[in-house]
Amino acid sequence: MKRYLHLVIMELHRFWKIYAALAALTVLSQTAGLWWSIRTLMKRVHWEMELTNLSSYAEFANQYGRISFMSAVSIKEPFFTGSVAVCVTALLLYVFLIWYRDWYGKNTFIYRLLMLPGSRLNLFWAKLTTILLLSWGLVALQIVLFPPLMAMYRHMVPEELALDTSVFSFVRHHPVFDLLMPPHAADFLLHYWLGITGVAVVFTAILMERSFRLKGLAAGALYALVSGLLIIGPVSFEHVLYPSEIFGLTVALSVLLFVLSVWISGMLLKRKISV
Amino acid sequence: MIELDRVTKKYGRKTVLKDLSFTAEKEEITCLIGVNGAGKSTLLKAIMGLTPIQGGQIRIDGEPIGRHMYDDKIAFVPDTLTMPPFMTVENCLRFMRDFYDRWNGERAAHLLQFFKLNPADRVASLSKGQAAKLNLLLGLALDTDYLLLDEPFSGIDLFSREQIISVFSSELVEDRGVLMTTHEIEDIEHLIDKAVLLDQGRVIRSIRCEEIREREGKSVIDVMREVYQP
Repeated sequence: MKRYLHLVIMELHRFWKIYAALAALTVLSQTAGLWWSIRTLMKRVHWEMELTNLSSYAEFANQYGRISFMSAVSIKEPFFTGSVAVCVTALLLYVFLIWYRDWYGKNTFIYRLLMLPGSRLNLFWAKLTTILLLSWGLVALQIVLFPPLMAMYRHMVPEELALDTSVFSFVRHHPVFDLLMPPHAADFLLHYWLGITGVAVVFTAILMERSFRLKGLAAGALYALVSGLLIIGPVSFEHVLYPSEIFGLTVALSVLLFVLSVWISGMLLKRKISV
Repeated sequence: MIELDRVTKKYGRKTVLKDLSFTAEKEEITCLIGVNGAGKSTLLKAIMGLTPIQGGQIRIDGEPIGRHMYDDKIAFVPDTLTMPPFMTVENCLRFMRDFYDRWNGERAAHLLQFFKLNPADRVASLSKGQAAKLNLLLGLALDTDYLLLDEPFSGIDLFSREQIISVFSSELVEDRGVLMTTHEIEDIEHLIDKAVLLDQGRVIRSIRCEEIREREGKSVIDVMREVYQP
């Protein structure tokens, strides 16, 4: 356990500079995006008021409706979803890089990692935990960022025009944020469990490639493809199965895939991996 | 004793180790000798479980290599530094202390001084000689019975080489078994007890250096000439 924790801390440390850059990009992009979109919206409001001889914001709100936080976000949507897309892409790439960087580069760190006392499966668990913590860290940052963004919205949009929205309601109605941080615990757990299973499958495919090179690459790609089909398979039976049955089948298959991936990875690390 | 019994290793269709057998005893320095591509590094990796073998057995004191052996039984110093570039020398020592119960901090501190390594230096900024010394330090500061060294003098300057060689005649290795590969035989010939000559993945001759000197008046290099340039 101690060695596993040391490995997790070391893996987090190795990514912190890129991670800090991703966090900074998220904060800056979304803050600047919201500020810019509210300014654009308010210019339009003033222009419309002048054109239609409206004398107050209340009259404007009566005629055209209020400006919601969602509509403010949607004006400069790329500042929000764009920063999220960059973070997601970086983490997806890191799922591969977290293994390959140990083999390539100036020094071959994998020598040391494979010669550590204790189970080699600790490497698998530590890297999986790292990816999960990095993902949850960005989700947590996003959750923490919403209240100040909403405060900025309330500060910049006049009271008569503003529409009070909760973070929960905003996330639930936003397609991207709803997918990444489902407000309901069951959805959140399912999304991230499927994510963890997906990462475990990719790790197994990487270890297949590292063990058998070209043949392993083909086997790994096939394993990932079949696993992907198994995960999305139950959804294609929605005209035959009840939603609860689809849910149950998805969870059962993902548990099976996760256990299988851990077992294969353990065997490869113990018997087949090659430096 | 490190014991290799009919070990076979293949990379695809190419057989790099063929039915290879020999032993390396504790409290002795055994040197693996061979031209490039003879299978020396692959052999060390196979002993450490860093590459799978397709046949034969490798035993250390009668047991197959297992995860518990990395802490107290055997340490490996590859021909490349095994620590990531972002770490400092001090970070490397802390890493080893965190993961290995048999890490000898006192010996590490002594070697740090002996090799004149600066704890604040980043691994990325180390010269080839300094990297080799740090690599050796990481292996020597583990209290293990056996030490495997892959080309410890490769590409380093004369003075660094002399400093590293002096380690082999010190108490740092005297009660351990050392199995090493090197092309610089002249420099260490007086220190080695046994030489195992490899060619194309096979052991073609195994000699006790002292015996061959006394009995036939030959050096290891003389034997190498006989074997590789008949």
